[in-house]
Amino acid sequence: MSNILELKDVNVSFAVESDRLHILRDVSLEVPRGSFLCVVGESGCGKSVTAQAIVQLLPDNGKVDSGNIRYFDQNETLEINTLEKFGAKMRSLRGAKIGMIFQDTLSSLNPAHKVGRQVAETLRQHLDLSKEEARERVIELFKKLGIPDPERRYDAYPHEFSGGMRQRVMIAIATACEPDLVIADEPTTALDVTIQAQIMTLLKDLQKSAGKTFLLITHNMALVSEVADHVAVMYLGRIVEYGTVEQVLRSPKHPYTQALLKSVPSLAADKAIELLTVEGQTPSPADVTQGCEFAGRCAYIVDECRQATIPLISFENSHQARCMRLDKSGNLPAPTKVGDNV
Amino acid sequence: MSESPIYRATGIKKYFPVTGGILRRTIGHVKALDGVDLDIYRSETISVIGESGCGKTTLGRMLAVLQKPTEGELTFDFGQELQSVKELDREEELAFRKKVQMIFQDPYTSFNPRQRVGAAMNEVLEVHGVDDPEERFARINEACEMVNMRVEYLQRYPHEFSGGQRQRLAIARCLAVKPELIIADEIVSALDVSIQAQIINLLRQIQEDTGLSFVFITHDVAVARYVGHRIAVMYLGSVVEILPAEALPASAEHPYTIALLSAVPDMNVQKKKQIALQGEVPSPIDVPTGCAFSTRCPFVMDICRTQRPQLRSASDGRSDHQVACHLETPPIGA
Repeated sequence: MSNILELKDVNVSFAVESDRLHILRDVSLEVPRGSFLCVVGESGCGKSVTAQAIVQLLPDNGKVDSGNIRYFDQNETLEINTLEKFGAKMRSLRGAKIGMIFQDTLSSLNPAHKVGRQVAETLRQHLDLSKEEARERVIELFKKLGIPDPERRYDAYPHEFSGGMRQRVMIAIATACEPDLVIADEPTTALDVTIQAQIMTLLKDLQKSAGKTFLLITHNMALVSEVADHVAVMYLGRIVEYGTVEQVLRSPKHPYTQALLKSVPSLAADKAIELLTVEGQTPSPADVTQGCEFAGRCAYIVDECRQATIPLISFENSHQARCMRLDKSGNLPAPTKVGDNV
Repeated sequence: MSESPIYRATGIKKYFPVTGGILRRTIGHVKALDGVDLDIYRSETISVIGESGCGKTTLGRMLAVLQKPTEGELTFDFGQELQSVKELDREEELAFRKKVQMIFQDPYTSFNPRQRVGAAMNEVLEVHGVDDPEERFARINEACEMVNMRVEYLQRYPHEFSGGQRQRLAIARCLAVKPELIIADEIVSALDVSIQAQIINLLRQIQEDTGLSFVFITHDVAVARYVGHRIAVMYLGSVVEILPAEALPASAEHPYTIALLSAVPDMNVQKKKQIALQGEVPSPIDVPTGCAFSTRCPFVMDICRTQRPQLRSASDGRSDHQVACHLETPPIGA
C-alpha cells in the first residue's frame, strides 16, 4: 500500500518568552493510503502540534525547524514544509485534499453565519460551483451525514445545533471537497459516549466506503482500539511506539504504552487489582534536553537512559518502539525502580 | 453495608424556571430532576452515571444541600434516626455540612488563588469549630498523609500545583473535617489518564481505610464501575437502574443502560448485547410523558408512552438490583 503522507524527522519549536521550547522531536510517521491511523498521548505530548504542522497551521510562535512533510497526490509529491504557508498551493491543499475536524465546534464555526453557507463556502472556495449548486451539494452532504431535516438545517445558525450535530457539520465541511486525507483532532472529546459512537461510526464508514484516509488525534486508548488500523503513541514530543492496533494494544513494548494501557479501568477490570499509575507527571519540554523523555517516570530506568539518543527499534512486522531497555524479542528486563508503578 | 441508609432521597424533583418574553415570565421548566429516589448506605461508594444533562450534577448539589429541591424529601442520619435536612437551624446546618462534604470537578477554581493551600485548609477547620490550633495542625497533617502530599507544600499557593496535586489537596481539605459522606462530582474528568489513575487508587484506598461513604458522580462508565460498589444510572432526570458494580456490564437490564454500555469503547470486552442509539437526548424542558427514554427506546410499548415506570426488582432477583422499565424480561439475552 502506498503512503499518502510521510513525516521525516520533523522538529517543531515554540518561542515562549525568551526561550524556544522543543515541542516535536524527530517525528517520523508514514500514513498508508486508505488507513485509519491514530496518534495517542496525554496533554502536551505534541499530538495536536503534529496535526497543525501537517497543514501548516501552527500558532505564530511555532516553527518547523527541520525535517520533511510530504504529501503524495495522484501524480505529484508535495513537500508541504517548503510551501508558502498561505500561498495558492497550500490553500488548495487545505480543505480540498486534506480535510480537518477540530474538537471545539463552537469556536470553529462562525456564530454569525448560517451553517449551510459555511459548508458551501468551502465548496465554492475550491470548486467552480454556483450558489445553488453548492446548496444542493451541501444538503446532499447533510443527508449523507445523518443531519435530520437538511433543507431546514441549512439555514440554521451554529447555536441552534447540539454538540453532536455541530460535529456532523464540521465533518461536512471537512469532507465537502472529497479530500483524500482527513485529520481529526479529538473530534469526540467534548461529546457524550453515545454521540461519540455515532460520530465514530460515521468516520469509519467514510474510510471504508469512500476510501478516505484518516489521521485521528486522541487521548483515548479504548477509542483507538475500536477504530484504528495503526497507532502511534507520543510522549513529550516524540513517537515512542508505532504499530498496528493489534500490536500496540495487545502487546505493547514501550514502558509508557504499557503504563498508559494499564492505568485506564476497563469495563471488565478486576476490581481487586489496583490501577497502574505512572509516578509524577509529564515534565516540561524545557527540562528534558537529552536522553529518553520518559526516563524520569520510568520503572526500568538505567543511567544510560538519561544520556543516549534512543533509537527506534523494530520488531516483527514493523512494530517499533523507542526504548533501549528492550531486548531483541521486545521484552523488558526486571524493573530497576520499585514503587507504585511496578 | 449496613441495614439503614445514612442518607435517603425520596421523590426529589428540581425544576429550573425558563423565562421568556419582555416580562420575563416563566414559560416552562427545565426538569433537571424528575423524581429521584436514592438510598446511600454507610461505607459504600455509589457511582452516579449518565450523559450530560441527565441531572447527575444537580442530584449531587441537592444531596450537598447547595440548592433546595423543588419537591421531595432528603433525610440524613444525624446519629439516631433519619432527619429531614430541609429545615435546619444554623447549628444543625453546620453539623450537617461537617458530615457531608463536596469535591468539585475543576481543581483550578476550587481554591482561592491568593490563599496558601494550608491556610485554606485551616480556615475550613476553624469554621467547623476546631478551636485548638494544634489539633487543626494535626488533622491537616493526617489528611495530607492520606493523600500522599508533603506537609511542606502547604505553604504554597494553588497555582504552584498541577491539576492532580490540587485534586489531592481538595480531597485532603475535605478529609480534615472528618466527614461521613463525600460527594465527588466528576473529580477525575479534567485529569490525564495517568494522573486519573493515581486519584482513583487514592479514593479507593481512603474509602477502604476510613469506611466513609462516597457519592461518585461521573460520565465515565468504566471508572464508575471500578470505583463504586453500586451504580445508579440516570437518564433525563430519572434514575433508570441501580445495580451492583460487578453486575456491569453483563447483567444490565434497562435498555438505556445497555445502550450506554454499547457506546463505551473498551478493548477488553466482547459486547454481546448491543443497542446503537439513534438521535439525541430530548430537551429536559419537554421530558416525554411516561418513560423518559420512550422516544429513543427500541423496545417501546404503548404503556411506556403514558405511564412512568417505577424502580422495581430486576429479573435477576438480586435485592440490590432495581430497574425502572415496563419490560418484564430484559430486552436482550441476560
